[in-house]
Amino acid sequence: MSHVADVELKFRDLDAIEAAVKACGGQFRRDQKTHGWYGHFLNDWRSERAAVNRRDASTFGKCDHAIHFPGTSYEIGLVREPDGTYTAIYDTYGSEGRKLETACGGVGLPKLKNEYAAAVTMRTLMRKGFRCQRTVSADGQITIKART
Amino acid sequence: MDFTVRIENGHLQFVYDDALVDLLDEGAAVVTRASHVEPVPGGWVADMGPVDGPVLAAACPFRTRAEALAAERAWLREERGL
Repeated sequence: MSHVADVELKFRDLDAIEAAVKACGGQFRRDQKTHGWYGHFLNDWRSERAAVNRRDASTFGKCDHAIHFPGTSYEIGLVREPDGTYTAIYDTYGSEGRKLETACGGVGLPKLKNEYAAAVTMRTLMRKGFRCQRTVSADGQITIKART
Repeated sequence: MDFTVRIENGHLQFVYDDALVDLLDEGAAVVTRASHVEPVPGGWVADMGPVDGPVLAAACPFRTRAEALAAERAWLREERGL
């Protein structure tokens, strides 16, 4: 009988991140050490999602790489974690923050994550000699068909 | 051989095959059983319970194990997009 695999990807491969950002209409700014945000921490968001629950507010606006989208001064910062993965940090406030989430598929940046997953999958399988075809359904579902 | 990798909310989902083992190294991987293909009086069934599915051919078991395995794969393909 079969087994099913579920692999949760985290941002790690910079080339795949760059491809995902491009697919979302943005620019990957490698090695940019600050990212655009409101500029001052107001501590006015009482949500589990608030970054202050997990990070020191003095680090806000600092990053290892940045993602820029046209039409907004706010940017997504990629902060390197001890395990080598990157966490996406961004200011969600107001219309500027909403533009980032709109470009990346909504809260939690699902489109950016899915495009990254697709880029990693295609690269990994093609390196093993697979021929890959990517399809996207009307609701945005990405499927990779691989053939030996 | 053909394989399908479904991508959802940053997760890869696929029917495991050793040919795809490298994908497990790309993140936090969990591999679980998809079904129980078991003999019953009259033949074989594929219990898709591990993936919250039905028991295939419960009322009229498959004659052969191969048929049950094929039904399992078809169910995963049609109902889970895998």
